[in-house]
Amino acid sequence: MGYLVTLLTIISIYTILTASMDLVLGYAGMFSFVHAALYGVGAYAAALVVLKLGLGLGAAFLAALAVTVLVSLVTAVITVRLEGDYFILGTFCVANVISSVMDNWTDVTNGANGLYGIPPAQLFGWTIAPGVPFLAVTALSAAAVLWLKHRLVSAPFGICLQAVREDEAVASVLGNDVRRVRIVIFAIGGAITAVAGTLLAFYLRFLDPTTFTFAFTIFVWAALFVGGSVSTLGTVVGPAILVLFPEALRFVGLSGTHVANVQQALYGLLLVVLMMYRPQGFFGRHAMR
Amino acid sequence: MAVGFAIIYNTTRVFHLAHGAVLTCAAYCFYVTVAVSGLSLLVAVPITVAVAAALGCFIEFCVYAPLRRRGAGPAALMIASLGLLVLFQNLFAIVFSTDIRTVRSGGLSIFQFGALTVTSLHIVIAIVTVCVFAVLQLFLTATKQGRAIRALSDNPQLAPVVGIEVERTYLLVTAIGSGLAAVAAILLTWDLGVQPEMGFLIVFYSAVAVVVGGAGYLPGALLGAVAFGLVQQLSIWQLDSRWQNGAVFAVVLIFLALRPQGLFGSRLNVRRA
Amino acid sequence: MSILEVKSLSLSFGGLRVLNEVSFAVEAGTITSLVGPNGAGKTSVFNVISRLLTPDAGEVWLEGQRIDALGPHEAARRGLGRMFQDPRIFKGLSVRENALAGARIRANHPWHALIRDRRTAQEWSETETRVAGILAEFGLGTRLSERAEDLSFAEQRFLSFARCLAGEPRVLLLDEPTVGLDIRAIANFTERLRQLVRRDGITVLLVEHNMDVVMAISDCVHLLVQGQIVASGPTAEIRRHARMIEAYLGDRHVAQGA
Repeated sequence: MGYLVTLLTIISIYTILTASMDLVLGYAGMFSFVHAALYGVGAYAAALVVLKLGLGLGAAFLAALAVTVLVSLVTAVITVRLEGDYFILGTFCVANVISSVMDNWTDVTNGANGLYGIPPAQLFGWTIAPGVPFLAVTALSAAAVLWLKHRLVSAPFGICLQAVREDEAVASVLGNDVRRVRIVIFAIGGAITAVAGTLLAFYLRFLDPTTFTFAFTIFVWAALFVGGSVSTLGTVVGPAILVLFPEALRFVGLSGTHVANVQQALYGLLLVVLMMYRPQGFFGRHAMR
Repeated sequence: MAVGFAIIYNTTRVFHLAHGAVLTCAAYCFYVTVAVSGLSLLVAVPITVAVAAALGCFIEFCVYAPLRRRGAGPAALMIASLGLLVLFQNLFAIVFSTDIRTVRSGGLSIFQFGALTVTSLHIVIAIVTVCVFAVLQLFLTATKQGRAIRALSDNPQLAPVVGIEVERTYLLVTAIGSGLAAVAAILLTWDLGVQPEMGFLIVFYSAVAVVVGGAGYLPGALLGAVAFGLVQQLSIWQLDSRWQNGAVFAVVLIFLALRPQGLFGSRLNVRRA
Repeated sequence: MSILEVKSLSLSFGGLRVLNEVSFAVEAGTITSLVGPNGAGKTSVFNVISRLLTPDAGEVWLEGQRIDALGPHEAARRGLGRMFQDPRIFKGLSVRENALAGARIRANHPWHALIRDRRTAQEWSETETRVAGILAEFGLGTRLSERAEDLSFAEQRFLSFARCLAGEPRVLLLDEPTVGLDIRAIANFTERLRQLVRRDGITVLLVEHNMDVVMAISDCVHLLVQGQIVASGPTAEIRRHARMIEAYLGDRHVAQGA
């Protein structure tokens, strides 16, 4: 039972991340390499507020939100003016810088040793116990994020995003300020990753820089493509499959020193196969072109 | 590495991240032929280059070409490329474990130029790079295939019309680029040894170098790589070496913010209606 | 007063002079055609007016205000609508979504998408109705949820026209809108254009090669050859102009008028 709770909690957190990625990559077509780093920024901000200031979940979340949105905006303003492939590299550079800060700003982040001893989440003095109560909080957050996303994209704003993705020139002669749209959606994406980051900090009770590397961004991409982009169902199904499948492998007896590598190799293979045979994933409305 | 990536990107417009996988593969091949099988360098080098070229062509033929035929665009190709990179990286980790494997058994001779310490290998690298690049430029300007490559990279729509076989040229370009990766792999392995993750980081560094130099201009890639390396070393010299990575990329970012088309960038980054 | 005016536009691309001191004016409520041989620079003129390109020199005036320093989206918000030579519909979206993409309403902004107050919701629903009406006039009314990329070329053309109209433009730039359309579609199209001008007071600037269409619906014609305006005037006069005949040698309409 506890095992199931763990899985569901993780899936919920990843769903939030995938939803954020869907907005930025699926709807707006921006291949952001910096997502994992932003997630890390949110997590660290939340953790620091709790550890150094002794505040609860609410304050941690607000701090994470503020910091992540700020970093997202700065990133967006610098990288949005870069075209296509250059944008991807720009986000890659930013991700590297953030990683470097996480690794090396030891006064604040404790470097490679990570932040540990994060107490369980506290909301208005009530402690949210790990296990089912925390799962409830996480699942509710995921549901809220999904609702928010749906509301955003079911309005003409969603059409604007996709127009910018499909054909920038046409979108701009129709009256869309392409640059501004991209910056705004990037910031919104960042805000959502802050939610996930905060939850992760309280879930793991321990943070270290190796969680937030490119490998993880690739994982989120894979989750998005498997489930399908431009879809609400897809952002839930994708992470679910990617989390449950390796667990299933474990039951089959595949374990040992190479488990992590096998998993990663499979993610890589999955990306290739997906692009070749089903670029829109399970439920996606938009095939990656 | 940068030049190899650049030539493939300019011609095929594929963000060939799997180039990193080619590098790693070549490195391991070199390791296997020299350290494990004990073959001499004279034999190992050509074998490695051949294997790398073959892998590159295999990827182009079995993955990119079918994808293109199905109508995949640059995004899908890049994702597939990334998938391949991750796949290979982990396969190598499974087969060879994640430790660093070395090839060289002895030390390297060291030279001092004032405050600069240089190993014999660094000199070899510099010479090889210049020679390889010179040969490549010669090939691109003087031979028929070379001109075909340049035509295709200049104007992808018009090239087939004048009789250039697109698929074959793509294969040729990939082979050349991969061969270049092999050269880099050999030099790297001799210097530092081989490990599964090396391809990943290096291919991104190369891509950054290409961007800094400006896409569409091969010598730019070379200059970009040199600039990148310089900034890296300078930052070690001035700052704490831990910040090396962050500093380099921060510099790149500032550079891109100010000059989005790179040093010598051309039409690839120019917006036109 | 002219609703749209360009003054001394000059533009060079990589050493090639594309536009050379191009000047002309378009009167409100008229249909004006910009004609000329291939490569004369007509699309470049459109790109400059719709602000996708910045000229090396010259001015663009819309409704008495200079717009050459604005971005393309700002020009659009001031009532400038533009159609491209290729339909360039949004492939991943449905017919309805494509058309709606042209509308400029409050719900386009994330804040209003989230917080849908009464004004936003009302404007949105009115726009949906209006857009559906425009699509119906083009025969696409029953195909709202189909994928845009499944439409035929002519239907895509009409869709991109509907998308453009959804923004309620006051000045329309149409780049070779009849290419690839059959006779009936062309007739349908020209009738719609006339209606737009008569009923809604829209001004149209047209780039066209089809001289039948040009002569039939234009009030005024400008001839652009190698980046320069070589003839301008009301349609009746211009068809007899020497340069016109020269540029369209063999075209029966111009020859007939001579």
